[in-house]
Amino acid sequence: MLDPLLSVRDLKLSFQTERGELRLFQGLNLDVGKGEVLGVVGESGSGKSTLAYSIIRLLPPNARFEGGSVVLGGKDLTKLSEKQMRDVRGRDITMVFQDPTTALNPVFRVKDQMLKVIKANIGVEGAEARVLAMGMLRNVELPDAAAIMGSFPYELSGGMQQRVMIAMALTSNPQLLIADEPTSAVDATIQVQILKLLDRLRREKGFSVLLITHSIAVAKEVSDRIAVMYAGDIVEEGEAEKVVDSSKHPYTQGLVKCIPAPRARHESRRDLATVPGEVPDLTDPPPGCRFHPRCPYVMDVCRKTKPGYWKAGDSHALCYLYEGGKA
Amino acid sequence: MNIGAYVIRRALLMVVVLVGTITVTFFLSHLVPSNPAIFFGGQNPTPQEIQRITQEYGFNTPLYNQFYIYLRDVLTGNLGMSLSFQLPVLALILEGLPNTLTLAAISTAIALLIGIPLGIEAARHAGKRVDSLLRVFSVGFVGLPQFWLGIILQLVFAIWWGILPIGSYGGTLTYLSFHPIKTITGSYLVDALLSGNMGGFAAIAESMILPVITLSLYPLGIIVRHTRASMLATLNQDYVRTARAYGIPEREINYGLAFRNALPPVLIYAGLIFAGSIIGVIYVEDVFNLIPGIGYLVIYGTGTGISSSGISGSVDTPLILGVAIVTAIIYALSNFAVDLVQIYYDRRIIK
Ligand SMILES: Nc1ncnc2c1ncn2[C@@H]1O[C@H](COP(=O)(O)OP(=O)(O)O)[C@@H](O)[C@H]1O
Ligand SMILES: [Mg+2]
Repeated sequence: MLDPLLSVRDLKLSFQTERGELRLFQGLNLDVGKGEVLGVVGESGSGKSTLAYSIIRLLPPNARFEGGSVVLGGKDLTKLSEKQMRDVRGRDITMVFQDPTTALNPVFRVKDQMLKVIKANIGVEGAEARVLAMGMLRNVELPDAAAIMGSFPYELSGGMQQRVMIAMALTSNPQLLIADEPTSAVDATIQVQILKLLDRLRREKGFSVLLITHSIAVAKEVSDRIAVMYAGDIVEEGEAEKVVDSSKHPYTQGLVKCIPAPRARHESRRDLATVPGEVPDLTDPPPGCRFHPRCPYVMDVCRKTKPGYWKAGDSHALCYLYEGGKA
Repeated sequence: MNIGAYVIRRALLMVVVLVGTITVTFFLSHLVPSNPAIFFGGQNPTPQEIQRITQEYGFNTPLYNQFYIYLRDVLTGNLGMSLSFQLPVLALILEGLPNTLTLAAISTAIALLIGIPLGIEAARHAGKRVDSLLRVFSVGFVGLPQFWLGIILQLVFAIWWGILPIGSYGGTLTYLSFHPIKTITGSYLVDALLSGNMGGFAAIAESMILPVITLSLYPLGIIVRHTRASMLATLNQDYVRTARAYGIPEREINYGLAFRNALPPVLIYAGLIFAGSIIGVIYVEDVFNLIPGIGYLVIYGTGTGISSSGISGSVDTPLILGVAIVTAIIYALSNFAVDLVQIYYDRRIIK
């Protein structure tokens, strides 16, 4: 990989829940290179959003950070005060959320929401800010910028709302854009448009993207590298093509098998197939490898101790099949 | 639906509610087991007068016909004659209402201006010490009986410490008779200000301090509780997280953004509090011997005042009914006003 922009090292994080402590991350490592798109893939509940919130430090109140570092451009974000972190958000890191219909404020016009973001991050107000906002809207391919500025979010389509979110996220040329399932709430054609838009903007502006998606097919199309997540662990990581076309970890192989055939992809039923079994209850996770109850290749050792993160072909995998990097 | 159609619909609804209220008051007044002509005839009417009034008002006709006459009278502003004052009820009410509304508006405004920020702070620090402290005070305020509070405030500030007048109608009137104010709005406080009579303004304002405290603590507690609840729900919304992710400062998130989302349910209570405080004003005007508003009319009309010497011990039914109708109108209007503010804040309501 190129120079890392973001390095997550040995991240440990748990949630306090009614059913006890949920130890989600037990030493997670992740890098995002400068100008790179890293796809983070995994089923719902694997910890993708929590990873995003850990990086941008917007965790829910019952989350407990238990150690590790999140270094962005040489700065360890976990060491910053809340006030310093506020300057990082919106300027160095921003985020686009899954459901634009709830992520935009319903009682403010687009204009007012954009102007607040511009004021907070660039310190510009009034006419100057309005010109900036219009330019941003055009840049996300919303041609009738003036009309959109005067609209309330619910007057726009889901795709338009997501473009507005992206425009706001890119206000101050951030270094890292985290996109948490940015296209899950829109239909297939819009999905492609939004992904192409993100790709174009990234090429123009040079920011890095952490793209979270539950679809490994989407991740392959738009990412340089892919990290596959399962139950709070990164179980496989490598170049996007390699991870998909020659998957190493049994879980990744399962995800790839679920990619619908090209013809079926046009039908909007995306969940035709799933990996057999269910994500475990993480307040009481399986001992050893967290994937072992669902694994077709399970061995005795998998039930007892957690595997290491070994080299597996051109990728890395958290699996005893590659113990000592031999495969 | 567009905004115009929505407003018209709400206005029509308001009229329907009002007619309903007037209907109920009419039939309630007919539960009184006596000849209404006697009430309308002033004190000690002669049989001839009773006869004349019975004819004139149609009291000998069927109830539905009487109801029709009553409704027609009310809708044309004829609320009858007051027994105790021998003056038209409407004129009496219109004279007193501005002073009553002034007191109600000031107490509601204070409850909102202090209660909303306190509620926001309570929500921001939910579960922390500030929140617990605010909870103790706001629940306490809601539990304080106003009649008790009024007397305690008089005891402490007027009798023990002597820093505020116990009840200053007399003193204020004496001052105003030497330094008269023009009648512009009918509210003494506002008129004193508008006619540049600062001495009069100060005297009236001073006499209102304890009444306003008495009236505003209860709504203050209510507003703090409801603002906290509404704000807590708002702070959990996705769009608040978005604002944080885009680096909006915390202060701006609370007071510039989330506050606007949390406001509509609080406004509903604000409307009810304003209208409901009319009832409190009736009591407070009497206890603090304030410039007469409609409270003073009720006290005389029912002969139940604490300080009223009582011109008559009997019930002045037309006057009381008139006050009831006017109070209902105030309720309906403040509800309507809240509706309008709600649409201003959130257009989705009309969808
Ligand atoms: N606030 C929370 N309290 C308790 N558990 C949580 C909380 N947020 C997420 N989790 C749990 O953490 C795991 C990962 O959740 P999440 O990060 O939302 O996954 P994903 O985004 O991949 O669907 C899930 O088991 C979820 O139940
Ligand atoms: Mg998620």
